[in-house]
Amino acid sequence: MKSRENTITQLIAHIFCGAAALCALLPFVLLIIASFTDNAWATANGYSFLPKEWSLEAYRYIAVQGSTIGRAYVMTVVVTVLGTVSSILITTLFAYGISNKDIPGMKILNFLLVFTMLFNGGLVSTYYTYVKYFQIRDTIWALLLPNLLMNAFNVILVKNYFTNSIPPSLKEAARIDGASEFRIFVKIIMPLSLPIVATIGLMTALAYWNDWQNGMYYLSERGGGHLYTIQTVLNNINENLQVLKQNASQAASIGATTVNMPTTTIRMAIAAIGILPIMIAYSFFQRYFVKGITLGGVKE
Amino acid sequence: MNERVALVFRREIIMTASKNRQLVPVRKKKIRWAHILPFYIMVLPGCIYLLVNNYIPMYGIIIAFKKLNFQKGILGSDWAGLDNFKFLFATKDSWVITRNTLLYNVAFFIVGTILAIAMAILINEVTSKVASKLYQSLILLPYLMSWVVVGYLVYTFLSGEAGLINKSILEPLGLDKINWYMEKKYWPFILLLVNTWKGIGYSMIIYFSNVVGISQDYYEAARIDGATKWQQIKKITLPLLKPTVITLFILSIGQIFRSDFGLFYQIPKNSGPLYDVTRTLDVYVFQALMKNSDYAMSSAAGAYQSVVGFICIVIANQVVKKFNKDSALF
Amino acid sequence: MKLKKVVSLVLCSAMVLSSLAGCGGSSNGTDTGGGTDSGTTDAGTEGKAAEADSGEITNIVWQYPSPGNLGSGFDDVEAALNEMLERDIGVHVTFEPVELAKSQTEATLMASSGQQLDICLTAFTSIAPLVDGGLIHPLDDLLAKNGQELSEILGTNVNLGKYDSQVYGIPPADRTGNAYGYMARTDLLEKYGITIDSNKYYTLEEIEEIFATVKAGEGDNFYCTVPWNTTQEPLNDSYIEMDKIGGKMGAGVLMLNRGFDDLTVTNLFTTDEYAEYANLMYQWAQKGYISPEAAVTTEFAGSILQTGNYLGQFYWADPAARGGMSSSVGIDFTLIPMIEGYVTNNGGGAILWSIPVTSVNPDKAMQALNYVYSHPEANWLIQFGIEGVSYEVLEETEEGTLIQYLADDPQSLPYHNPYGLWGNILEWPVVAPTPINKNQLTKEFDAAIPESRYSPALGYNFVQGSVNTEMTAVDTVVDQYTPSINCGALDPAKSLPEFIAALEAAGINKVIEENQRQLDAWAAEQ
Repeated sequence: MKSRENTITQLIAHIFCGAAALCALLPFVLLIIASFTDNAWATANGYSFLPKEWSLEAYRYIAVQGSTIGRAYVMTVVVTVLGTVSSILITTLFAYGISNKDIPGMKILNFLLVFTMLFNGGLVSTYYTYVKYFQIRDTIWALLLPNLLMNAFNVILVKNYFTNSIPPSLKEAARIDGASEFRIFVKIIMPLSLPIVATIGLMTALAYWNDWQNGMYYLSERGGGHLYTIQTVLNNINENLQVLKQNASQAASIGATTVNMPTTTIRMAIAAIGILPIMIAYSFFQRYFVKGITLGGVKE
Repeated sequence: MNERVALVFRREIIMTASKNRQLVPVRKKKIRWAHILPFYIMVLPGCIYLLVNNYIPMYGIIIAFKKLNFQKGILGSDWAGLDNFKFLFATKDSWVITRNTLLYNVAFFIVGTILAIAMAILINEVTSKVASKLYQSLILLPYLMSWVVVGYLVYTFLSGEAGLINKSILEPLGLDKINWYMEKKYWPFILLLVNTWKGIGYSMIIYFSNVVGISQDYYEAARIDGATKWQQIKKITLPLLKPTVITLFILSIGQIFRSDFGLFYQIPKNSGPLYDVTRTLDVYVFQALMKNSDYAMSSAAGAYQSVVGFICIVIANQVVKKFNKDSALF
Repeated sequence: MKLKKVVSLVLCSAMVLSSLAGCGGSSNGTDTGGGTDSGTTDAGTEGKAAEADSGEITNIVWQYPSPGNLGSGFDDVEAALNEMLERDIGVHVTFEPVELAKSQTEATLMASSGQQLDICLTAFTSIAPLVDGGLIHPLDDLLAKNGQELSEILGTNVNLGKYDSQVYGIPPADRTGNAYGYMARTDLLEKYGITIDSNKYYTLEEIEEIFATVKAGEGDNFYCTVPWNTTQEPLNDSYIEMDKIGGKMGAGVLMLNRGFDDLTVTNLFTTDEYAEYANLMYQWAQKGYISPEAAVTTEFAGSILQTGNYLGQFYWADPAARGGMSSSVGIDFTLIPMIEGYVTNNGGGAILWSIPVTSVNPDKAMQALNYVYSHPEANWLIQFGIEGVSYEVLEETEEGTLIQYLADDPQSLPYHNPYGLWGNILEWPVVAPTPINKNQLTKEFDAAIPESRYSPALGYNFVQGSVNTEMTAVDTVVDQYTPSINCGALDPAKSLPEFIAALEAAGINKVIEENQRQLDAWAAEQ
């Protein structure tokens, strides 16, 4: 009976997850195919999985900006790695701190943390603070610091994990043995927290990878253009399109030759370029990610 | 029992009244700096960051109440009272917009949570490592796409003339083509579907890491007792996921007046006839301020969303505290 | 309570620090030092003190709208420009490249945080936020002192940059008048034996007949017009003469088709003309002249025309228009004129150069602008690049100069500037295959417009400050309905009354009253 139940479970799991995976994959395949479709044909007939006319035009257009894009990739990887590592450190330390509710001040810190999720000073004052006082404009700090380094949501997730999944008896035992708090943190808490660390690591990495706003606001094209990440570059292309499209009547008057503007196909190619590397990277790191999640879950 | 017992410990005695109005000796804990200092050091980097990134710029909220003139500086500009908020209510659709924002958030949370948990549990059940890894990666894929791109892809499916649905499904079946972008009745479902499709990989991961963290001992014990898979899930997995669900619930209540702008603006292609069911507060603010970049007004919109979210989250937190003190956010 | 204490401490420190912000100048420059080499950290970027006028070179920072990829020859062009500017007016320009879409955002952020910016660009948005935010200088005095040639070149176009009776922006010098018509594919016109008399002004009925003929012959998957679904104007402005004196349709228009001396601000959407128009578009969509996708497509009109399933589109009809459209789409079009040229204000220019308050030397900035407008050498340099490197001169006559890019794809050149917003457009060289006398024809076109076809509101600009809320709400409503109406996607019998009701609920009558009041006051002073 057990094995039958097992088989049914497996069947349900495979069908459900498989269907979901397929739903997720198909549009992506469509995206790739679309980027290789001839734009004129696509405009007339709509995109499909089997276009009648193929074209490399989209990628040719992007290749012209090849060196910019190559450099942007490198930049993105650097920023993502640095940002994720620092973020994990700060987040876990902070979360551990506030998970100890009996320490004076931690409850207040907790509230202050949640408060930041709701109230935000807005772009102008944040920009002032970073540019005027800390002068991060056109430096790599502009990509690492604003808004991404520590995320209240992640802190809460980690804090909950600490509170719910790590038995206090472990800490007590270690304290009695004379271990310092730091030692407890490094030797006991962290190894047991691999699942959640892996999780927030992934989420932070994605956040850094996908971020285009920091680059847009804090990097000027000349002084900081070499620091642009891939999403900023791609977003700039799209934004320009949007503006010209929104103001088609006036855009034509300034002679912005609309035909040389990226078409939808090119925008698809741009999107594909933005996603592919992280998919490849994820498939490499997934091993460790899943290991982290499953290993850490094994209790003594 | 009015027993007074003097306990001398480190020369401090404090008497407090306990709940049944009896005098009970309590040892006041002396602050052992050596014990708590490490904690303060640990939270220091985070604190500095919160200060710099969030609290110093916090004064920017007053922009919502000011008539912004940069020459006078933010503090020096004239007060505008609540003028900047008026445009939020100046449309006859204010109620519709609010309703859309609220209902979608509720629907997204309920559907998203159920599916994410189901997915997490099922993927955990899959014995083949290869398959489970594959499923996980693929389901995450939509999260990586931007809404602009998803908008194009949806257009591929829903386009009136050449869309995949109209051409490859409805036509062969002999049904009339539907002009999707002009008919509003389908859109709540379309948006729900698209939002779930895009976000489920992400939320699933959160639940997955919790599911995996559940000790196998519980399941062993249950199996020995003869529990079926379904019973195991119902009695062990779900209850242990409850704290996370509650936390996420409270957090999403705090965002109840916010919405994913990309979803509601890019997917319906900003089509006018659909506004009744696709326009949320963020979309309205964007449309209003797109051509007239008024920072004060956009700041007012943000302040409005924040205040409402704050009130809601405090209420929700208090309610949760009544039932389950640990799960409360603060 | 402890909570109160800590919170108040935090808020206090926030207030203290923010009061420093309010002073607007003292920078606590905590140099983090960790930055990688910021490449060309130009002297101007962190607010250097203004340098003396005479003898020394003033460095000014000038926003340069770029398409994203600057090209290897950018520095050369800047150097060549500076050679001229340093020699003649003692100015050194440092270009600050910025994406066209965010030029105003960047200008706002830079100017409000005290960073040096001498000339900024406003593209496609109203200049009002910059003025109301106190971020830019009024230019009347500066023009009088340092921009005499500039004023001459602009002529009445200087009105495009006015706001609240003062000049705040300098538009590129282009033609003054606009004419409208319909561009039809030449090959299709020939195929159906339709000849066009280019001296006649066609009515909409006559154009519809042409549609009917071609559509009958081409069949189903063929459409006759591409409505621009992101603009509010009916029929891409080819419908009737009007002046959008508030800058937006929602602020009311002057119905110039009823008379060029009519100073009544009207709600276009309640007029009979508009009702007729809405019905017509709906019928066209029913007859298959407009694609059902028109309202939601994201493609540019040019790309849509390239698919070959379209007859053409409603477009401008000035001498340069036909050639421009044909070369950019790659198909030959014939112009069918509909509306004779006329001159309006339309609430201000779409492209304006302004001088922010953080300029170190507004006089020098104005001189630089003046120089570029009045010296073709400098102008051509910025717009087209260095001769011999980016382009070559094919022909030079007294009518104009004909040039050709030195590469098939201009974007692969070491320097390519796709945005035509610099200087005096009417003195530019003409890029092949546009005819060499294009500028000449345009000037003649302008000169041929009689004063009787000048809008009576030239020089007037609507200040929307007191009706800001209503204007925003109204504009949103207009944006909601006009694309569908323009594309004939909805039955106007139902949607037009809805539209009008929504406008009134948003407060359009208040806006129009205010606009009328300001207009009357301005007219009284003329």
